[in-house]
Amino acid sequence: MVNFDFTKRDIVMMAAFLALLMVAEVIWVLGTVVGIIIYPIVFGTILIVTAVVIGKKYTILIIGTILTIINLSTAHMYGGTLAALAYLTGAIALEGVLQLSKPYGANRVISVVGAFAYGLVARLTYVVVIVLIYGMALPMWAIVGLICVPLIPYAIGGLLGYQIGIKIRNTLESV
Amino acid sequence: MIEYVNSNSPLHRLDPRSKIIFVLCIMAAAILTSSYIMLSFLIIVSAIVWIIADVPIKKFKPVFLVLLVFVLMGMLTQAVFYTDRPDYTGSKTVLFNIMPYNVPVIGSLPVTVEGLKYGLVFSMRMVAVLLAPMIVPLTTHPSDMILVLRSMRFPEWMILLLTMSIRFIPLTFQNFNTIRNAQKLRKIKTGYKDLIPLMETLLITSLKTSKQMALSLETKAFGYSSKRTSLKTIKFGKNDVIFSLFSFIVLGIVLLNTGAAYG
Repeated sequence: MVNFDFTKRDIVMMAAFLALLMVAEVIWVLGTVVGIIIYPIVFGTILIVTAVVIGKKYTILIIGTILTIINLSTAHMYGGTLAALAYLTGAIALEGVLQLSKPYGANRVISVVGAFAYGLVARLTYVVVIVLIYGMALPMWAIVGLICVPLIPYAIGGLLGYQIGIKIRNTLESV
Repeated sequence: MIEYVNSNSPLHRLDPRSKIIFVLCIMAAAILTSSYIMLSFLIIVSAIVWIIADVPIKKFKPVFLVLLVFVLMGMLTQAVFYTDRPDYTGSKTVLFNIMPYNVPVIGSLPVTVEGLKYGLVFSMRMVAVLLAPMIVPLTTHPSDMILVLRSMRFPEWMILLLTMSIRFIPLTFQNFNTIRNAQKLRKIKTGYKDLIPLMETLLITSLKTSKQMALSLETKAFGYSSKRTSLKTIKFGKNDVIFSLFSFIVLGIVLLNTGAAYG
């Protein structure tokens, strides 16, 4: 049986991070070309900051689950409602990678690899949903581009997230 | 973001679960069919439900604008890529090429009649898939959604996390504007290098607020009793059964038509 050991403070902090992740969606207003580069950096950063600051197992899994529920019920994204599943599958991948570090989220390399894994799995799910479920015809080069282009920005986001996360954790401990 | 619209329409009075059944039926039908008539039928059904929901459509102009962009993008991409698939065996009537030359890897990107026809089907499917689910957040009060989650036996702390995250969104925007204005006051121009300090400050401000909220939850003894009661309750009534039946009938019509089309 999985034990979720979250205090009220952890839950409220996770809610603040969830709100930031949802606010980050505004980046897509700048356009697809800018969005596909900037959005993964910001999103990856916030995810890794969450893992570093909360520092407890299953944090990212919970964040991914709630984000999926919210996006399934608001249906704002291109790729239809089912594309929201990309948040969940990506979160499962990131959670798996982050659990390799002891304590949770306290390793720079694992954070970067985790953000990369999140990007890979989330984009793969997104493409699977729009191609196999909604029937969008895409050539192989477009599929590869859709999956691979945001991967490096996700990794950059992971690195930034680790650096910012450590700073924020220290600040919060000192307040 | 799509927010709840306060009204007393028949849709607002329904149990959220019946609206979720409607959304699932419309989505399943839209995914299963490729017929113009059936997709038009699904869009019309969703539009009628929108009208019954008494939602001020003018207020959602940006949403429809985004939907229009999706339709145009879907049409354009499918017009080019549909006949470009390796498994495509049908005819190929080229209207014009987007690229003047044959570019390596991507080719000359020909726009075809067959692609445009499929693009129309794809766009109609996307409209049906996006239009129906919007009904749920527009006509369901967040507190009713919480009751649905509770009836689905979601843990209480997870429901708290969900509601608080939604509550935090306007607060985050407010904090963002305050920090950005403070940055602007200190400098004439603001560039990308100011984004990291902005993000750090935004994170710390949000987390400080969350600390206060956690304290207030503790003082109110949140989670002390495992048995929670609610002033409001949801009940799957007669109207919900009728609306759910209507949803299944719509799905049935599309399935029958799709089955007939495939022989």
